[in-house]
Amino acid sequence: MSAAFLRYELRSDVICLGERLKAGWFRPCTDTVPYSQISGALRWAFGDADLHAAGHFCHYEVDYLVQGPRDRLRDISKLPLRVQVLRQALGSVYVLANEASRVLPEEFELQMGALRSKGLGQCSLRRLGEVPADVSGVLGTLNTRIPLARQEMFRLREVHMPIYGYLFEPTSPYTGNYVLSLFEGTRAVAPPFLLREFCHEDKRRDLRVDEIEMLRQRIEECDHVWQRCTYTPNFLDNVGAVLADHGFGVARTFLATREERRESDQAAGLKEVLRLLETCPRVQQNRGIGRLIIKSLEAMRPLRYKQARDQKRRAR
Amino acid sequence: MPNELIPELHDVLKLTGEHRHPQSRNPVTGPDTPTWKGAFYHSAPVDADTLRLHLADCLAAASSRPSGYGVSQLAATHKLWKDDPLREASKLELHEVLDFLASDPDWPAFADRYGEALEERAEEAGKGLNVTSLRTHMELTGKFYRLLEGRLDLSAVVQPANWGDANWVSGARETVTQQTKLTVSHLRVEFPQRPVRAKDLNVLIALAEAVARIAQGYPDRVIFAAGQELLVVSPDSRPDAALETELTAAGFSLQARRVTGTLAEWTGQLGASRASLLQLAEAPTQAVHGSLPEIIPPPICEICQMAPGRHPWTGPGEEEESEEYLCANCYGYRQRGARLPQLAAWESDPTTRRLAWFRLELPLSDLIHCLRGLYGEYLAQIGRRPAPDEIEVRFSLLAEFQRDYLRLLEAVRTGLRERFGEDNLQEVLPNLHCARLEDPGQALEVLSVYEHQVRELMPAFLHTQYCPLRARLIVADLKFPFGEIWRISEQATADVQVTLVGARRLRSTHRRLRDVLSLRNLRLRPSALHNLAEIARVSDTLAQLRWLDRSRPSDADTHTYQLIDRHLHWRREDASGLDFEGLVAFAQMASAARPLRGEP
Repeated sequence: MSAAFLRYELRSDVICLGERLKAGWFRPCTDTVPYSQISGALRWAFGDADLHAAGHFCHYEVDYLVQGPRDRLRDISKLPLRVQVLRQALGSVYVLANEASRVLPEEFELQMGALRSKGLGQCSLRRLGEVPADVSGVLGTLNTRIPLARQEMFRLREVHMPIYGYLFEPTSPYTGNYVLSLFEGTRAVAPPFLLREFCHEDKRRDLRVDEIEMLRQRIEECDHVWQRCTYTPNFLDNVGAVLADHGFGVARTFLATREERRESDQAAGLKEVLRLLETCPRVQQNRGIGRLIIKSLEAMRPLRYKQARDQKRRAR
Repeated sequence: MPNELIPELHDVLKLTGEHRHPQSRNPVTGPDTPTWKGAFYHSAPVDADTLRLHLADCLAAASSRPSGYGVSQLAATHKLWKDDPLREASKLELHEVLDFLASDPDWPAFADRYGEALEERAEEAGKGLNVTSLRTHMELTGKFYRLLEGRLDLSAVVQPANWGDANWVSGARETVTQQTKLTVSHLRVEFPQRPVRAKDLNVLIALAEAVARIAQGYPDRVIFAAGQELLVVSPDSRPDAALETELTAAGFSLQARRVTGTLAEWTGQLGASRASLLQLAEAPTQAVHGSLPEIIPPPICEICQMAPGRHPWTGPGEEEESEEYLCANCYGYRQRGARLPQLAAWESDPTTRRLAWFRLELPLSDLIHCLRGLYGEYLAQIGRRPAPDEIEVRFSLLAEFQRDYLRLLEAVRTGLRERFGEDNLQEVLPNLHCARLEDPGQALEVLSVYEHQVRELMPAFLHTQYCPLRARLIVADLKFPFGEIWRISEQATADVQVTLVGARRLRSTHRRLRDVLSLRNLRLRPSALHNLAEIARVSDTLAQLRWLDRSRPSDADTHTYQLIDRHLHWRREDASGLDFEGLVAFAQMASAARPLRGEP
């Protein structure tokens, strides 16, 4: 097989991975995808014990949930449990390419981590490519957790400064042991995709996550919005208020009534803005965001149009 | 009376400004004691003890260069981290010092009597070399002298001893320094626990105790000890295994950097290659652990997760379902009971909602780089242009800094106590404090106290690009587990970082900290800051758009944003060291701020 590892993108809305419950009321979460977690989830989903994987998250928001686990037998609630979770988590998973990994489809879903019964840990995986077999190792900082016994499998060599910890390794469906492992922060020679310093591609993918930022870029790039006019604060305030209070349809009607008047250029530009806003799910869910964007429209004006506007003003 | 050589007193004549050693034209006569012999002959050894003293003196010197940069002015100690102008040191009368030496005093008695003069007088009086005090140098010489005891192998010198022959002494010195090795280790003590309960914070106390135990148990080996950092010297080509085992056996792990060199290399002897603290700062880090089993059958310790959890813990009054399985170390820490009374009291007080954790860190490697940078600035200031490898940071400079660093910690503690009151402050470690807040805005008061004390004691750090101090302020609710607080403070990257847990981070530099804090003195509209913070909760992009929107100049919010803009010179690149997220964090804190007691 020419590939050493299969590379998957991992997305999850809310996930809690890793650590054990502390003091009966706090469950911390790791920002890596440890070998034990992802390999266990893959084996559970595909029923093959020879699946081996590890990964990391590159984008997420840390949040805390409070759970009140119920003891049904005694009809009481236990101590409230605070769970650290990662929201909007985006990461990468690298699956060892072997006979077992052939069964993995291009896209699939699995559950992983804590509180799965509460809906956490639903993950979507999508294959992005392969890591070639001749990938060479470089010195860097490990960005995942791998058992010492699997070190060779992941081509981890020359461990310069180990950070040790223990990962759970099942010996049967109901039993297992904790095995000595290398944790994130370990300095070692390893394939770049396992190292913190070499996750550039993951960082580029981060940009896709902020929808508002993407929307801002699209508005900035749209010439129809900028070329014909400058916007007056009053007009922007009015359109923003109509959008927030009554929705896109009424806002468009409002603009149509202004097309015959002095504000016709502004109205045409804003119709274009409305069209772009409507493509963003977050604005559709919360029209207040649309209002803020419209109110701050002049702050988005691209430099070349700013210069043109200033020249026009000076000429007047 | 000691009737033995007190190595610390070897440079006692420097207090008088007299250089009347054997080589001088008019040598002075002193009392007939071993200490006087050491003081008189240490620069021209006459036996094995004075040779050892001579080498210890060289190791403890601020510079390996020949004395004085050619300047004979008697300069007072110039601390690189202070802005004090250069001045002359006062002198003591020769007869007064000799009279006192005649009583054959020990070092504590001498330091008690002349402590002030010892701190004022620089070890090397010449401008450019006067960066460490005589006191630090003397103490350090004492350490090296005792450290080298039994380590100088004079049998390697083939010729029979001829202490009267200067050439023979010089040859013997060279042989000995080339054959004796010295290993310097920079150790950072780490703990694996992630404490959640107040009782588990005892691990921090245990860590501080372990570091103090090492400093006391090996007083001549530990050159620098602050927080989790230790600088340890071992007169061997190997590090001190006993010392390291003592720490790992207590459940801690170590991150170690080491450099081994001969005495000739460490003292910068002519013709020898150099071993330096700069090499140490750049040496690769090694991990030192205690014994770790390959496999641990369940249960594993729930706090450290590094050892079998053989000790079930159900505290008094705790329910059965909260039973935890702990290892021997973690069980021991918890058994010590709550040693932080305020934290325990706040936990049972329903009015307590938020805490501010303030931690001050001093990474030794950064300190070495920083002192080197400041030294270079000082030399440039007095008109010298040394080559980069001539700017040395030696043991004495580190030891000198440690003295003032401890003063800074004490001053910060006193300042916080005055500002927040005894009931609202808990000292966990000298460099870790916890303050009870009524609102998040009070957290800025912690930074304000800190900034004030740095300005008083180490003002140079506020206007130089080199600052080794790392201030971390974390604002969290009372129930937020300490393990996470510690992790956040460990992962912080900025010089000054404020983290509002679950919300924002404010990152700044020491240079710009005052500007950031003085934002509070502007007449900012609280609702404008509040609006910005609320918009940022939805999206940073939106908040930035709102911030940049100047199309409504008469708008009150816009006016506030313009005010901040002008104050921080926001548009100038990295002028404030404060990014947009930091600004929003500031807005979140400042918009909720209320005056503290004692304030108008």
